[in-house]
Amino acid sequence: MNIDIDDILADLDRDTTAVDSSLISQAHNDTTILGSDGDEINKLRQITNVSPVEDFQTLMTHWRNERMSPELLPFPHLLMQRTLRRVQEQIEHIEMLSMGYLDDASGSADTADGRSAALMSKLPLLGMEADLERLKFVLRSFLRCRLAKIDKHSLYLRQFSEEGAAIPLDELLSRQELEYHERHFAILLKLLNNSILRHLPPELQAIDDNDGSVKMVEEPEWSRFVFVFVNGPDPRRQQDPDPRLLVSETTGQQFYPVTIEELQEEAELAIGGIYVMRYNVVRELILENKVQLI
Amino acid sequence: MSYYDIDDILADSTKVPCRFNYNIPGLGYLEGNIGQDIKKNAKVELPLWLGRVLAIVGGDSESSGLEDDEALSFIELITPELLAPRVINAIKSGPVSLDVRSINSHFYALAVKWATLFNDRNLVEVLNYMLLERSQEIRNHASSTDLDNLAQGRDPSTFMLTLDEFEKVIYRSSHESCKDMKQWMVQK
Repeated sequence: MNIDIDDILADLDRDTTAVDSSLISQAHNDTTILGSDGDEINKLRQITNVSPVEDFQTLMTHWRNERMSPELLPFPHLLMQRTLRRVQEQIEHIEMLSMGYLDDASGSADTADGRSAALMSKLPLLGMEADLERLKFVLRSFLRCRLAKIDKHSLYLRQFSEEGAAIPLDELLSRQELEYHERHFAILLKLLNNSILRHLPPELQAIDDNDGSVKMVEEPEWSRFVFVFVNGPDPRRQQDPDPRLLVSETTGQQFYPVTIEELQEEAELAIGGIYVMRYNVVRELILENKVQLI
Repeated sequence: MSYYDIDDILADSTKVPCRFNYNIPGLGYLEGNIGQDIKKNAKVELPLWLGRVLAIVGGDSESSGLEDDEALSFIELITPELLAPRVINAIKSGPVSLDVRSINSHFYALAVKWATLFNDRNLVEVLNYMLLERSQEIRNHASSTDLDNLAQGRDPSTFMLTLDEFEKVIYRSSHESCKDMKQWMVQK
């Protein structure tokens, strides 16, 4: 007779090793996706549960998605705020520590014992500096990638600010990016105007003319193929079952159904699988953080 | 295929043969004799960017003399040399051995434009087959990089000389990625 006591054991585990389990189980956390469909309770819990480790993991996901997606993804405002603050604090922390070493070195440099102690305790400092550089690299690469996309789609992005668009521009871009976008566009427009556009007849002077033989506003390549990894729903949110998640009848595996409109075809994205898909097919799942780009 | 795409602009300037459906005064410079009229049924080579628009936009029905013939456009596009049955048959028989570059250096771009213009399903099928077959060969050539040979300036094989501009982009990027990968594996 087998009694399944896994849930009781899990309860005990949670009480005794609370820190570890929170680190492991929150690996796929979408703490800071703005406008995600999480209700109030979820949001509260997400905010209380932030930790540097999972923030970094979320940042990595955002970075990868941004690098591979054809469109500009919404800016993770809260995540970036937290991360930038931490970078600042860490820099100050490292400087404070290294001042401590200075004192140590002047005081007890002569004794061999003190020197080795100073050497030993430099390892954490090295680790901190290397780790800080790593984080800064990811941040820089992320922002540069976004700037490249803003350059490319500046005409397209202007449409967001002009009309009543689906996403307001200040949610899509950060404050600095918004400023970059506006000023860069103004400079570019000035250059074009001064060099050629003023020599053209007035009806040809618009640079966002979509009625001509070729569209001038370049939209993102919505149907570009991307590699996706299906990571499935957040393991912590088992209690509210995902309505989009279906269970296959033949294999018993969980999958997301997606429809490829051009071919009128249904496809199944099994959890844990890697697929090559058109971006517009999986776009919503990416924004909900159910699949990631790789 | 965007507005500022250089390859797209170059592809669009390829000339295609057209036949005029109307007598139009003053347009003689398209034929080379400036100041003259252009006659009906005159055959002219026009760049695709011009021909594509003129083939869609219709003239007014009065000048043609036919009241019900409003749909008739200014010009009629004639199948150009690069999509002649001869070429299509050559593709069907062996895409890999075909010298695409000698037909046109922007073959794919033009063929895609042509197929969109005429909704040509057969052409799309042929192109699909061709691209798949040729991309396998491109992939083979791109991945078998010998770093020593490359440094000495290895002579490109004959297949490399038959690539069109679009295939060259594919070749270059896949070659670069293979090369970088190998370099990364070899040297830390």
